[in-house]
Amino acid sequence: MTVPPTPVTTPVNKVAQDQAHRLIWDLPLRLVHWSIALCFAGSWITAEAGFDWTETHFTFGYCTLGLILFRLLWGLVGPTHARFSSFLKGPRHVWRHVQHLRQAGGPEAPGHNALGGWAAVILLTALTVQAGTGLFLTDDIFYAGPYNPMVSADTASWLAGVHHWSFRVLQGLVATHLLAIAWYQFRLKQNLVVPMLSGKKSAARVAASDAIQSSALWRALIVALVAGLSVWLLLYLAPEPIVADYF
Amino acid sequence: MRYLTNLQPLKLTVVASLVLTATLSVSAIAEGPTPAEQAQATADTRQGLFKIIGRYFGPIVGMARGQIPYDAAVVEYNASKINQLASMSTDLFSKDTSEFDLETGALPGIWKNQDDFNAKAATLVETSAALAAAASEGKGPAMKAFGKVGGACKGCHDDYRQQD
Repeated sequence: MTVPPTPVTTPVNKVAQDQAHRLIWDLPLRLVHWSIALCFAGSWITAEAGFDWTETHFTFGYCTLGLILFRLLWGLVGPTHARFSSFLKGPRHVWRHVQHLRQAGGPEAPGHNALGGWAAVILLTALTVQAGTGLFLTDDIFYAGPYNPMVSADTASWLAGVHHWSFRVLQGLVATHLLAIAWYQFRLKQNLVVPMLSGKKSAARVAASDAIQSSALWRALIVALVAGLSVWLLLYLAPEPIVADYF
Repeated sequence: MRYLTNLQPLKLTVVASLVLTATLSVSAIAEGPTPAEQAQATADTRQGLFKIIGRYFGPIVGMARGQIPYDAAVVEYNASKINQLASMSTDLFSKDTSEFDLETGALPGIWKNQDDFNAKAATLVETSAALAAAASEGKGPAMKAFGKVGGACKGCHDDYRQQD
Protein backbone atom coordinates (compact mmCIF):
# COMPACT_ATOMS: atom_id res chain seq x y z
CA MET A 1 0.00 0.00 0.00
CA THR A 2 1.45 3.27 -1.03
CA VAL A 3 0.76 6.54 0.59
CA PRO A 4 -0.06 9.23 -1.96
CA PRO A 5 2.40 12.07 -1.70
CA THR A 6 1.07 15.06 0.13
CA PRO A 7 0.91 18.04 -2.18
CA VAL A 8 3.36 20.65 -1.07
CA THR A 9 1.76 23.98 -0.42
CA THR A 10 3.24 27.11 0.93
CA PRO A 11 0.97 28.32 3.72
CA VAL A 12 1.96 31.93 3.20
CA ASN A 13 -0.25 33.71 0.68
CA LYS A 14 -1.81 30.41 -0.30
CA VAL A 15 -5.16 32.04 -0.84
CA ALA A 16 -3.84 35.09 -2.58
CA GLN A 17 -2.05 32.84 -5.06
CA ASP A 18 -5.32 31.20 -6.02
CA GLN A 19 -5.75 32.61 -9.50
CA ALA A 20 -9.46 31.89 -9.81
CA HIS A 21 -10.63 33.27 -6.49
CA ARG A 22 -9.64 36.06 -4.17
CA LEU A 23 -10.18 36.13 -0.43
CA ILE A 24 -12.32 39.13 0.57
CA TRP A 25 -14.12 38.22 3.77
CA ASP A 26 -11.85 36.79 6.46
CA LEU A 27 -12.98 33.71 8.35
CA PRO A 28 -13.62 35.47 11.70
CA LEU A 29 -15.82 38.05 9.99
CA ARG A 30 -17.86 35.31 8.33
CA LEU A 31 -18.19 33.33 11.54
CA VAL A 32 -19.36 36.46 13.36
CA HIS A 33 -21.83 37.27 10.58
CA TRP A 34 -23.49 33.84 10.65
CA SER A 35 -23.35 33.65 14.44
CA ILE A 36 -25.20 36.97 14.67
CA ALA A 37 -27.80 35.59 12.25
CA LEU A 38 -28.10 32.50 14.45
CA CYS A 39 -28.44 34.61 17.61
CA PHE A 40 -31.08 36.78 15.94
CA ALA A 41 -33.15 33.72 14.97
CA GLY A 42 -32.49 32.04 18.31
CA SER A 43 -33.54 34.98 20.43
CA TRP A 44 -36.64 35.49 18.32
CA ILE A 45 -37.70 31.84 18.69
CA THR A 46 -36.92 31.70 22.41
CA ALA A 47 -38.84 34.94 23.00
CA GLU A 48 -41.89 33.35 21.38
CA ALA A 49 -41.39 29.90 22.93
CA GLY A 50 -42.43 30.96 26.41
CA PHE A 51 -41.36 30.91 30.00
CA ASP A 52 -39.08 27.86 29.97
CA TRP A 53 -36.88 29.35 27.25
CA THR A 54 -36.14 32.65 28.96
CA GLU A 55 -32.64 31.64 30.07
CA THR A 56 -31.74 30.50 26.56
CA HIS A 57 -33.04 33.85 25.32
CA PHE A 58 -30.65 35.56 27.74
CA THR A 59 -27.74 33.43 26.49
CA PHE A 60 -28.42 34.42 22.89
CA GLY A 61 -28.44 38.05 24.02
CA TYR A 62 -25.08 37.76 25.79
CA CYS A 63 -23.60 36.05 22.73
CA THR A 64 -24.95 38.86 20.55
CA LEU A 65 -23.21 41.43 22.76
CA GLY A 66 -19.93 39.53 22.49
CA LEU A 67 -20.26 39.20 18.72
CA ILE A 68 -21.02 42.91 18.31
CA LEU A 69 -18.02 43.81 20.45
CA PHE A 70 -15.82 41.50 18.37
CA ARG A 71 -17.11 43.05 15.16
CA LEU A 72 -16.46 46.60 16.43
CA LEU A 73 -12.89 45.74 17.45
CA TRP A 74 -12.39 43.81 14.21
CA GLY A 75 -13.53 46.92 12.38
CA LEU A 76 -10.47 48.63 13.84
CA VAL A 77 -7.80 45.94 13.67
CA GLY A 78 -9.13 43.32 11.21
CA PRO A 79 -8.13 42.75 7.57
CA THR A 80 -8.87 45.47 4.99
CA HIS A 81 -12.50 44.72 4.13
CA ALA A 82 -13.46 44.25 7.78
CA ARG A 83 -12.23 47.75 8.70
CA PHE A 84 -14.65 50.62 9.11
CA SER A 85 -12.05 52.96 7.59
CA SER A 86 -12.15 50.93 4.38
CA PHE A 87 -15.90 50.93 3.85
CA LEU A 88 -17.47 53.95 5.58
CA LYS A 89 -17.83 56.53 2.83
CA GLY A 90 -19.38 59.97 2.61
CA PRO A 91 -22.86 60.75 1.26
CA ARG A 92 -21.57 61.47 -2.24
CA HIS A 93 -20.20 57.95 -2.56
CA VAL A 94 -23.42 56.52 -1.19
CA TRP A 95 -25.48 58.50 -3.70
CA ARG A 96 -23.23 57.40 -6.56
CA HIS A 97 -23.76 53.78 -5.51
CA VAL A 98 -27.51 54.27 -5.30
CA GLN A 99 -27.47 55.44 -8.91
CA HIS A 100 -25.79 52.16 -9.91
CA LEU A 101 -28.52 50.14 -8.22
CA ARG A 102 -30.89 50.33 -11.19
CA GLN A 103 -29.14 47.86 -13.46
CA ALA A 104 -26.27 45.42 -13.74
CA GLY A 105 -22.92 46.48 -15.09
CA GLY A 106 -21.97 49.09 -12.51
CA PRO A 107 -18.72 48.85 -10.58
CA GLU A 108 -18.61 46.21 -7.84
CA ALA A 109 -16.90 47.00 -4.55
CA PRO A 110 -14.64 44.17 -3.39
CA GLY A 111 -15.99 44.34 0.17
CA HIS A 112 -18.87 46.45 1.46
CA ASN A 113 -20.06 49.00 -1.07
CA ALA A 114 -20.77 52.58 0.05
CA LEU A 115 -24.39 51.72 0.86
CA GLY A 116 -23.77 48.27 2.34
CA GLY A 117 -21.17 49.64 4.72
CA TRP A 118 -23.71 51.92 6.33
CA ALA A 119 -26.28 49.14 6.31
CA ALA A 120 -23.87 47.06 8.40
CA VAL A 121 -23.38 49.94 10.85
CA ILE A 122 -27.15 50.45 11.15
CA LEU A 123 -27.72 46.72 11.74
CA LEU A 124 -25.00 46.64 14.39
CA THR A 125 -26.47 49.70 16.10
CA ALA A 126 -29.95 48.18 16.17
CA LEU A 127 -28.52 44.92 17.54
CA THR A 128 -26.67 46.83 20.25
CA VAL A 129 -29.86 48.60 21.32
CA GLN A 130 -31.72 45.29 21.23
CA ALA A 131 -29.24 43.29 23.30
CA GLY A 132 -28.27 46.23 25.52
CA THR A 133 -31.80 47.05 26.67
CA GLY A 134 -32.39 43.36 27.40
CA LEU A 135 -29.89 43.55 30.27
CA PHE A 136 -32.27 45.81 32.23
CA LEU A 137 -35.60 44.05 31.73
CA THR A 138 -37.70 41.81 33.93
CA ASP A 139 -40.72 39.62 33.29
CA ASP A 140 -42.08 40.60 36.73
CA ILE A 141 -42.32 36.91 37.54
CA PHE A 142 -39.07 35.07 37.77
CA TYR A 143 -36.46 36.24 35.32
CA ALA A 144 -34.66 39.53 35.19
CA GLY A 145 -31.74 40.76 33.13
CA PRO A 146 -28.51 41.09 35.13
CA TYR A 147 -28.72 44.88 35.34
CA ASN A 148 -32.43 45.10 36.18
CA PRO A 149 -31.75 45.81 39.89
CA MET A 150 -29.87 48.97 38.87
CA VAL A 151 -32.89 50.71 37.35
CA SER A 152 -36.30 51.70 38.69
CA ALA A 153 -39.40 49.74 37.69
CA ASP A 154 -40.49 52.66 35.49
CA THR A 155 -37.16 52.79 33.70
CA ALA A 156 -37.18 49.01 33.21
CA SER A 157 -40.68 49.25 31.80
CA TRP A 158 -39.62 52.05 29.43
CA LEU A 159 -36.60 50.02 28.32
CA ALA A 160 -38.89 47.04 27.74
CA GLY A 161 -40.82 49.26 25.35
CA VAL A 162 -37.57 50.09 23.54
CA HIS A 163 -36.66 46.37 23.47
CA HIS A 164 -39.97 45.46 21.84
CA TRP A 165 -39.90 48.33 19.36
CA SER A 166 -36.28 47.88 18.38
CA PHE A 167 -37.07 44.26 17.60
CA ARG A 168 -39.64 45.42 15.07
CA VAL A 169 -37.06 47.79 13.61
CA LEU A 170 -34.57 44.92 13.52
CA GLN A 171 -37.07 42.67 11.74
CA GLY A 172 -37.52 45.41 9.15
CA LEU A 173 -33.76 45.82 8.77
CA VAL A 174 -33.20 42.07 8.36
CA ALA A 175 -35.99 41.93 5.77
CA THR A 176 -34.36 44.85 3.93
CA HIS A 177 -31.00 43.07 4.15
CA LEU A 178 -32.48 39.91 2.57
CA LEU A 179 -34.34 41.88 -0.11
CA ALA A 180 -31.14 43.77 -0.95
CA ILE A 181 -29.29 40.45 -1.37
CA ALA A 182 -32.07 39.26 -3.70
CA TRP A 183 -31.87 42.55 -5.64
CA TYR A 184 -28.10 42.24 -6.11
CA GLN A 185 -28.54 38.61 -7.15
CA PHE A 186 -31.33 38.94 -9.66
CA ARG A 187 -31.10 42.53 -10.85
CA LEU A 188 -27.41 43.34 -10.57
CA LYS A 189 -26.20 39.76 -11.11
CA GLN A 190 -23.92 39.92 -8.08
CA ASN A 191 -23.98 36.94 -5.76
CA LEU A 192 -23.30 38.11 -2.21
CA VAL A 193 -24.24 34.92 -0.37
CA VAL A 194 -21.49 32.60 -1.61
CA PRO A 195 -18.68 35.07 -0.79
CA MET A 196 -20.10 35.41 2.74
CA LEU A 197 -19.86 31.61 3.03
CA SER A 198 -16.55 30.91 1.30
CA GLY A 199 -14.99 34.31 1.83
CA LYS A 200 -14.01 34.41 -1.85
CA LYS A 201 -15.05 36.23 -4.96
CA SER A 202 -13.96 35.24 -8.46
CA ALA A 203 -11.01 36.98 -10.07
CA ALA A 204 -13.41 38.34 -12.65
CA ARG A 205 -15.14 40.37 -9.94
CA VAL A 206 -12.21 41.47 -7.83
CA ALA A 207 -8.76 42.81 -8.66
CA ALA A 208 -5.78 40.90 -7.25
CA SER A 209 -4.71 43.95 -5.27
CA ASP A 210 -8.03 43.92 -3.38
CA ALA A 211 -7.59 40.39 -2.04
CA ILE A 212 -6.67 40.11 1.62
CA GLN A 213 -3.59 38.08 2.45
CA SER A 214 -4.98 36.03 5.33
CA SER A 215 -7.79 35.75 7.84
CA ALA A 216 -5.48 36.99 10.62
CA LEU A 217 -6.61 34.13 12.84
CA TRP A 218 -4.16 34.76 15.68
CA ARG A 219 -5.21 38.38 15.89
CA ALA A 220 -8.83 37.21 15.77
CA LEU A 221 -8.20 34.86 18.67
CA ILE A 222 -6.90 37.73 20.80
CA VAL A 223 -9.81 39.98 19.83
CA ALA A 224 -12.25 37.14 20.56
CA LEU A 225 -10.69 36.69 24.00
CA VAL A 226 -11.02 40.42 24.70
CA ALA A 227 -14.66 40.43 23.56
CA GLY A 228 -15.50 37.25 25.48
CA LEU A 229 -13.81 38.44 28.66
CA SER A 230 -15.59 41.78 28.43
CA VAL A 231 -19.00 40.11 28.30
CA TRP A 232 -18.01 37.75 31.10
CA LEU A 233 -16.90 40.74 33.17
CA LEU A 234 -20.16 42.56 32.38
CA LEU A 235 -22.12 39.61 33.76
CA TYR A 236 -19.71 39.03 36.66
CA LEU A 237 -19.98 42.65 37.81
CA ALA A 238 -23.79 42.64 37.63
CA PRO A 239 -25.49 43.46 40.94
CA GLU A 240 -27.02 40.66 43.00
CA PRO A 241 -30.76 40.47 42.31
CA ILE A 242 -33.00 41.64 45.14
CA VAL A 243 -35.12 39.05 46.92
CA ALA A 244 -38.59 40.63 46.85
CA ASP A 245 -39.91 39.64 50.28
CA TYR A 246 -41.32 43.03 51.25
CA PHE A 247 -44.78 44.49 50.89
CA MET B 1 -78.19 105.28 59.27
CA ARG B 2 -80.06 105.46 56.11
CA TYR B 3 -77.38 103.96 54.02
CA LEU B 4 -76.88 101.21 56.61
CA THR B 5 -80.43 100.04 56.03
CA ASN B 6 -79.72 100.32 52.35
CA LEU B 7 -76.92 97.83 52.82
CA GLN B 8 -79.21 95.29 54.35
CA PRO B 9 -80.32 93.59 51.13
CA LEU B 10 -76.71 93.35 49.96
CA LYS B 11 -75.65 91.74 53.25
CA LEU B 12 -78.44 89.30 52.90
CA THR B 13 -77.39 88.41 49.40
CA VAL B 14 -73.79 87.81 50.52
CA VAL B 15 -74.84 85.59 53.39
CA ALA B 16 -77.31 83.71 51.23
CA SER B 17 -74.77 83.05 48.50
CA LEU B 18 -72.17 81.89 51.04
CA VAL B 19 -74.63 79.43 52.52
CA LEU B 20 -75.63 78.24 49.08
CA THR B 21 -72.01 77.70 48.04
CA ALA B 22 -71.28 75.76 51.20
CA THR B 23 -74.36 73.59 50.74
CA LEU B 24 -73.47 72.91 47.13
CA SER B 25 -69.92 71.91 47.99
CA VAL B 26 -71.06 69.64 50.80
CA SER B 27 -73.58 67.97 48.52
CA ALA B 28 -70.87 67.57 45.88
CA ILE B 29 -68.73 65.75 48.45
CA ALA B 30 -71.70 63.76 49.63
CA GLU B 31 -72.28 62.57 46.06
CA GLY B 32 -69.37 60.16 46.51
CA PRO B 33 -66.83 58.96 43.96
CA THR B 34 -67.67 59.23 40.27
CA PRO B 35 -67.87 56.03 38.19
CA ALA B 36 -64.36 56.79 36.85
CA GLU B 37 -63.04 57.15 40.39
CA GLN B 38 -64.68 53.89 41.38
CA ALA B 39 -63.15 52.20 38.37
CA GLN B 40 -59.70 53.55 39.27
CA ALA B 41 -60.18 52.30 42.83
CA THR B 42 -61.01 48.87 41.40
CA ALA B 43 -57.83 48.95 39.31
CA ASP B 44 -55.82 49.96 42.39
CA THR B 45 -57.29 47.07 44.36
CA ARG B 46 -56.42 44.62 41.58
CA GLN B 47 -52.86 45.90 41.49
CA GLY B 48 -52.72 45.55 45.27
CA LEU B 49 -53.71 41.89 44.95
CA PHE B 50 -50.85 41.23 42.54
CA LYS B 51 -48.44 43.10 44.81
CA ILE B 52 -49.38 40.78 47.65
CA ILE B 53 -48.98 37.76 45.39
CA GLY B 54 -45.55 39.15 44.50
CA ARG B 55 -44.68 39.39 48.18
CA TYR B 56 -45.32 35.65 48.68
CA PHE B 57 -43.70 34.82 45.34
CA GLY B 58 -40.43 36.69 45.96
CA PRO B 59 -38.79 34.43 48.56
CA ILE B 60 -39.43 31.32 46.42
CA VAL B 61 -37.71 33.09 43.51
CA GLY B 62 -34.80 33.79 45.88
CA MET B 63 -34.65 30.05 46.70
CA ALA B 64 -34.81 29.09 43.03
CA ARG B 65 -31.83 31.36 42.34
CA GLY B 66 -29.97 29.90 45.31
CA GLN B 67 -29.83 33.27 47.05
CA ILE B 68 -31.57 31.95 50.13
CA PRO B 69 -31.62 28.34 51.35
CA TYR B 70 -34.56 26.14 50.42
CA ASP B 71 -37.19 26.10 53.16
CA ALA B 72 -40.07 23.68 52.59
CA ALA B 73 -42.25 25.30 55.28
CA VAL B 74 -41.93 28.76 53.70
CA VAL B 75 -42.65 27.41 50.23
CA GLU B 76 -45.73 25.54 51.44
CA TYR B 77 -47.00 28.55 53.41
CA ASN B 78 -46.36 31.08 50.65
CA ALA B 79 -47.78 28.81 47.95
CA SER B 80 -50.99 28.36 49.93
CA LYS B 81 -51.26 32.15 50.33
CA ILE B 82 -50.73 32.60 46.57
CA ASN B 83 -53.41 29.97 46.06
CA GLN B 84 -55.90 31.93 48.19
CA LEU B 85 -55.01 35.25 46.58
CA ALA B 86 -55.23 33.75 43.08
CA SER B 87 -58.78 32.62 43.80
CA MET B 88 -59.71 36.28 44.39
CA SER B 89 -58.41 37.52 41.06
CA THR B 90 -61.49 36.60 39.01
CA ASP B 91 -63.69 38.37 41.59
CA LEU B 92 -61.66 41.56 41.27
CA PHE B 93 -61.82 41.40 37.48
CA SER B 94 -65.56 40.67 37.34
CA LYS B 95 -66.34 44.37 36.80
CA ASP B 96 -65.49 45.60 33.31
CA THR B 97 -63.49 48.82 33.67
CA SER B 98 -62.25 48.96 30.08
CA GLU B 99 -64.47 51.95 29.17
CA PHE B 100 -62.59 54.19 31.61
CA ASP B 101 -59.27 55.86 31.00
CA LEU B 102 -57.38 54.34 33.91
CA GLU B 103 -53.84 53.92 35.08
CA THR B 104 -53.83 50.21 34.47
CA GLY B 105 -52.06 47.49 32.56
CA ALA B 106 -55.25 45.42 32.31
CA LEU B 107 -56.14 44.96 28.64
CA PRO B 108 -59.78 45.16 27.44
CA GLY B 109 -59.42 41.57 26.19
CA ILE B 110 -59.98 40.43 29.78
CA TRP B 111 -63.68 41.29 29.44
CA LYS B 112 -63.96 40.35 25.78
CA ASN B 113 -62.68 36.83 26.46
CA GLN B 114 -63.65 36.56 30.07
CA ASP B 115 -64.00 32.76 30.00
CA ASP B 116 -60.46 32.39 28.70
CA PHE B 117 -59.21 34.93 31.23
CA ASN B 118 -60.94 33.06 34.06
CA ALA B 119 -59.50 29.76 32.82
CA LYS B 120 -56.01 31.27 32.87
CA ALA B 121 -56.59 32.65 36.35
CA ALA B 122 -57.70 29.16 37.39
CA THR B 123 -54.34 27.83 36.16
CA LEU B 124 -52.64 29.93 38.84
CA VAL B 125 -55.00 28.51 41.47
CA GLU B 126 -54.17 24.95 40.36
CA THR B 127 -50.42 25.34 39.97
CA SER B 128 -50.02 27.15 43.29
CA ALA B 129 -51.94 24.35 45.04
CA ALA B 130 -49.62 21.84 43.36
CA LEU B 131 -46.61 23.83 44.57
CA ALA B 132 -47.86 23.81 48.15
CA ALA B 133 -48.26 20.04 47.87
CA ALA B 134 -44.81 19.55 46.33
CA ALA B 135 -42.96 21.69 48.88
CA SER B 136 -42.29 18.79 51.26
CA GLU B 137 -40.85 16.65 48.43
CA GLY B 138 -37.68 18.70 48.36
CA LYS B 139 -36.20 21.49 46.30
CA GLY B 140 -36.08 19.66 42.95
CA PRO B 141 -39.78 18.73 42.67
CA ALA B 142 -40.82 22.00 44.33
CA MET B 143 -38.92 24.13 41.83
CA LYS B 144 -40.39 22.13 38.97
CA ALA B 145 -43.84 22.91 40.37
CA PHE B 146 -42.78 26.53 40.89
CA GLY B 147 -41.81 26.79 37.23
CA LYS B 148 -45.40 25.89 36.36
CA VAL B 149 -46.66 28.66 38.67
CA GLY B 150 -44.45 31.13 36.80
CA GLY B 151 -45.74 29.72 33.52
CA ALA B 152 -49.30 30.36 34.72
CA CYS B 153 -48.41 34.00 35.46
CA LYS B 154 -46.81 34.45 32.06
CA GLY B 155 -49.63 32.66 30.23
CA CYS B 156 -52.04 35.32 31.43
CA HIS B 157 -49.63 38.29 31.23
CA ASP B 158 -48.88 37.54 27.56
CA ASP B 159 -52.50 37.97 26.55
CA TYR B 160 -54.05 40.25 29.12
CA ARG B 161 -51.35 42.48 30.55
CA GLN B 162 -50.19 45.51 28.63
CA GLN B 163 -46.73 45.08 27.12
CA ASP B 164 -44.75 48.25 26.82
